[in-house]
Amino acid sequence: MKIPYALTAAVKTDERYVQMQHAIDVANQRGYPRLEQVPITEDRVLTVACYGPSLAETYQEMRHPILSMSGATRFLADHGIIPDFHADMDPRAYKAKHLNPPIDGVRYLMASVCPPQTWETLKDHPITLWHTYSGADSKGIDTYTWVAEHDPNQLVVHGGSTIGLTALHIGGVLGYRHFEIHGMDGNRREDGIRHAGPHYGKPQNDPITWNAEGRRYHTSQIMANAVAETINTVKRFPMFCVFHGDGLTQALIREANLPNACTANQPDKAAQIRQACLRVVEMPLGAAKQCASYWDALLDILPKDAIPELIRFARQAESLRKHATYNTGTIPLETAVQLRAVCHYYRPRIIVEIGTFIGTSTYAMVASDRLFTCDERNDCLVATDNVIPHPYMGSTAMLRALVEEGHAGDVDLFFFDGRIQNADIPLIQHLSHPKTIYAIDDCADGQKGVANIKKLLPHLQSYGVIPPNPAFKGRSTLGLLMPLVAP
Amino acid sequence: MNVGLYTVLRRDPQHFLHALALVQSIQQHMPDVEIHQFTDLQTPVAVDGVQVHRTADGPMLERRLEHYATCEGDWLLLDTDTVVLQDVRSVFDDPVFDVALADRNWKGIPQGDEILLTMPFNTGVVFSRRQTFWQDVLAVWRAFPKDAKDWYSEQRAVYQVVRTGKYRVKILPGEVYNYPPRTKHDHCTGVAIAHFKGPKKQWLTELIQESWRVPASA
Repeated sequence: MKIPYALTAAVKTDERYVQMQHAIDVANQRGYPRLEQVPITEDRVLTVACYGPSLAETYQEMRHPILSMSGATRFLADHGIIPDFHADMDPRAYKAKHLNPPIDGVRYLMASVCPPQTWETLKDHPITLWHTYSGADSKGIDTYTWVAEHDPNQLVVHGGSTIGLTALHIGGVLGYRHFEIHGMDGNRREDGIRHAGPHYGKPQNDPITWNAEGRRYHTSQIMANAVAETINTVKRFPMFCVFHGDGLTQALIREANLPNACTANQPDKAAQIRQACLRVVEMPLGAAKQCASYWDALLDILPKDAIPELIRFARQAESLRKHATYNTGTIPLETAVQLRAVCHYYRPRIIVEIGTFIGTSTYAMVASDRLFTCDERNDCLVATDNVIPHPYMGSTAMLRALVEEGHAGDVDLFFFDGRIQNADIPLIQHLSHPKTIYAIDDCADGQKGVANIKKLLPHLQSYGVIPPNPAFKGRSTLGLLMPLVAP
Repeated sequence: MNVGLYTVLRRDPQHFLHALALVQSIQQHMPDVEIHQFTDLQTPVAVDGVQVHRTADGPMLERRLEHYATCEGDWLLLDTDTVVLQDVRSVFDDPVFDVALADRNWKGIPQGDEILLTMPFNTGVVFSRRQTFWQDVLAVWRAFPKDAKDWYSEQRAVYQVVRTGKYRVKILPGEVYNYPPRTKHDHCTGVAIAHFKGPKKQWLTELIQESWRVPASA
């Protein structure tokens, strides 16, 4: 989602660095601990309390541990709930009023960029110091470089434009992946109220509205940006979120229909998300940071000279069509390229292909030992040292033959461009091992690939579906069933 | 005449497929012209015999303009999603132009006022004689604010330079020299250069792969 408004920071980075240096000096003097990464465990849940108006309606549903911010900490304390943590990163002096008086029993997770009076107000209370990303100063020194020099070996949390968003990242550092989020509304109510209680920030009365779920929400440039950032953050990060209350953010979360986030008034989905745990697919992570999908990461590391080679192979394969007794379609170049990319990264030793036809996919895949392929109705391909065609042979017969030849547990990659038969399933299981990859063509609505996934997936333990590459806009329908592992 | 095409192979193989088909179409209709592939450090050569000019990775529009700004003499500069259907060298028989641009007066494809006012020429097909024209375009483009350097910014920069009046500009009919096929199997009658721009790229991709097919025995 595009961040709608270009906004300038309220306090310049040069000034922020002065405040950060002061905080580091105080922290060193008083021995404040720094924020440190705790390993993430799937069964822990952090309640995040933001200060939007809906907090007043949902705070009673909260469970500890609670991380609150802004005026939410005082609001909760006034209502008999002492949060476990308070987080803040606002560099403006007047925002420190929210801290006064501090609340016993709260650990204050304070960004070094907070104004100097913060440290006096909180001098008798437990503080953990952390650094937030603040861009670059007038000399071009960015926060990572600055922190490395002035507070070596400490984390920089690059969370977002608001403390609510950043709180999710701090939660990640504290070892949480599951969040119950309250008061993150991103709008003011019809009566103009934009917080659950008193707030010392400047009024945000920009006449901006945002329609979601057919309803018009009154928001501001700052809040609209934060809302867009929130949706992007939830989309991009491996976290599970249940949003409570009624507001713009919550409406957009429902509209986005993300697999890892919902609102508390979607009880079935919320129950699923609360039970969810993260599993990952082994993929080229080095390239992934600039990739929108699994396929992007895989294609990025495929040597570029593979493409002209695959084009040549595809043309050669077409010349075999004259031998076809059953003439049908072949895979497009995009699918051939992705099959090659799968082979390039995962380096399969043994490949089994169901549906040879003219061999476009057979040529695209590379097995370091052998590739077995069958076609019930054609004989277009000539055997080579490591490509073993099974012409006029159905899948069940070839799979059975492979089991009988002693290939149980040998197959690293299956490619299905034909329908999987019920009788194939036990044979496929027999030939597979726990890390076998299943590549499936025609993964589009109503096509055989979807039927193949439905047939195969229930028999696989801890596998996930990689859908066709969205960047190809339907030009390739190659999907994968990939083994999942804990992160 | 030289023909230049800019192609960088990233994740989508169709762009390379298009470049290949374009080179073949140029060779078919203008067998003696020199073909130049402008590209990055990794992209393979489209077809043997093509002259390759490489620069480091960078923003596509800027890199392409940098390449164009090296072109002195008679150049036909083509997007990779174009296909040459006729010999077009005769355009250079007219000595009185520095750059020849194709208009957007496509029958049945009305262009909005905004487009006609800011970028009335589609730069997928350009006949160029003046290196300095592209150097000026590059300078204008670089001066655009970051958020204005979108996909169409190159065409806006071209028009800004055209409007300076510094160069003699010949306007070619887009229906002939920069023709967007109306359907996948458009016969392109009377068309010199077809341009499968935008979503029509997919038609070109499919047509190329279909053209490889040989009749089956059954």
